[in-house]
Amino acid sequence: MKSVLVTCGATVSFPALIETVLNRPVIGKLKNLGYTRLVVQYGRGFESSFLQLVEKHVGEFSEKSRLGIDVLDNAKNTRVVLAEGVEICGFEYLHDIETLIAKHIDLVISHAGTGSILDALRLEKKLIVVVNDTLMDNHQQLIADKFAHQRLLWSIHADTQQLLNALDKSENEVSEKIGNTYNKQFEKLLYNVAIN
Amino acid sequence: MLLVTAWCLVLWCVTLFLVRICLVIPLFHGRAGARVAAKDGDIMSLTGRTKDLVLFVFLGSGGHTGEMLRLIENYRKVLIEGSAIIHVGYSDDDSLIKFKNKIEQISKRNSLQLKIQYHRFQKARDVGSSLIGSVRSILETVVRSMLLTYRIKSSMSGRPNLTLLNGPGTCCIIALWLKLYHIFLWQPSKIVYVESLARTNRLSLTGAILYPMADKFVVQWPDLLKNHPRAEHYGILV
Repeated sequence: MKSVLVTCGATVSFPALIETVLNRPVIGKLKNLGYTRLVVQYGRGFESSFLQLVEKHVGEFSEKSRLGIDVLDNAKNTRVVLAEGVEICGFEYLHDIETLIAKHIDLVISHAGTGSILDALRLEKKLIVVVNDTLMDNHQQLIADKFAHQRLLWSIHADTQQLLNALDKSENEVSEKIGNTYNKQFEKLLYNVAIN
Repeated sequence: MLLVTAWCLVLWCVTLFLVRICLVIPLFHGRAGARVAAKDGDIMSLTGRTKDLVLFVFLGSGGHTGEMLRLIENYRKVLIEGSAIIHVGYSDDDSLIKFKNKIEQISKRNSLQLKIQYHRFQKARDVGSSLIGSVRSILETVVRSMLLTYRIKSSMSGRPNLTLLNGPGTCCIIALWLKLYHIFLWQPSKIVYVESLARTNRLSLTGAILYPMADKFVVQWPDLLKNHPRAEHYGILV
């Protein structure tokens, strides 16, 4: 079973990202690429808006209470719906999202926050980053460009066509791996400062 | 005559005070001896030598906390394996839970017995809050954090200590108190600041404020070295 994780920031919600992913053509595309589960972390206090978006794009939904994935079944306010044969599961926020990504996720579609980017890259998952250009101080674009330049991820804006293209690329192109970020010189610096 | 003597005394005090500031604030030290490299052997034996380390880290929120947890994990040998006590400052519960999960993983994996103290700080400024709202909450944070920082500071005296900060705003206040205690109470504190990975070409406001105060100022993108001669770059660390 192939699964996609969509994640917004923990502190700032990003409805445009969720709306883009929930588009019928995108869900169809995901199904064509063999994904049968779409997991969405929609962010704190965003539950009712998420359900509205689901209703708007996916239509009437039935709810399932359990998924069979422990981390998600224990998460707060997990919602599961089915659309075009794709199981859509939304939850508010997960403290240990790394375990979820490591064990159950094949592709991550994320906002361009460094935390989420690093989670996906360090666990060596394919990553599409959607830049939130409504943020006031937009360093998301800069950081996404830097990483995209190193071919670590695919960077787009919240746009259906761009997402469809990026999904194709994620299937056909091979991205680079981030490698180990342990640095011996920096460790020495910490050591020297501490003992001197 | 009395007046002149009084003035002389005042001038003396002011001068001494200024000299003291220059001695304490890292900005005035230049970069001389900035890289006193430890020999490779030191790192190997470092668990023994930093047994008394008092570590203070502050968990910002969201991305800041994420980066801090990775720093702790990547550099656990220096930061936590030889620590006598770890002080953890935080201002939101998500960060606290994330930290507890992570530290539990690390100590299980390496079978460590860690002594950790948690300190709740008030947020200096919420993202997007108004100017007046910000000023008020900043002032409140300043006063409340004075005592918290003092408590942490006291447990550092006479032992190897390290304060690791990476933003956001509350860090400025913590650093300010640490340096004031350093100036007036003769209790040295050493601050390492690591600028967020999100900052590729411009320092954050917190970074800019901490630039003169941090003993070591580390950036994760080389573009930031251009205008900041005190900054050091070791690639992506988190």
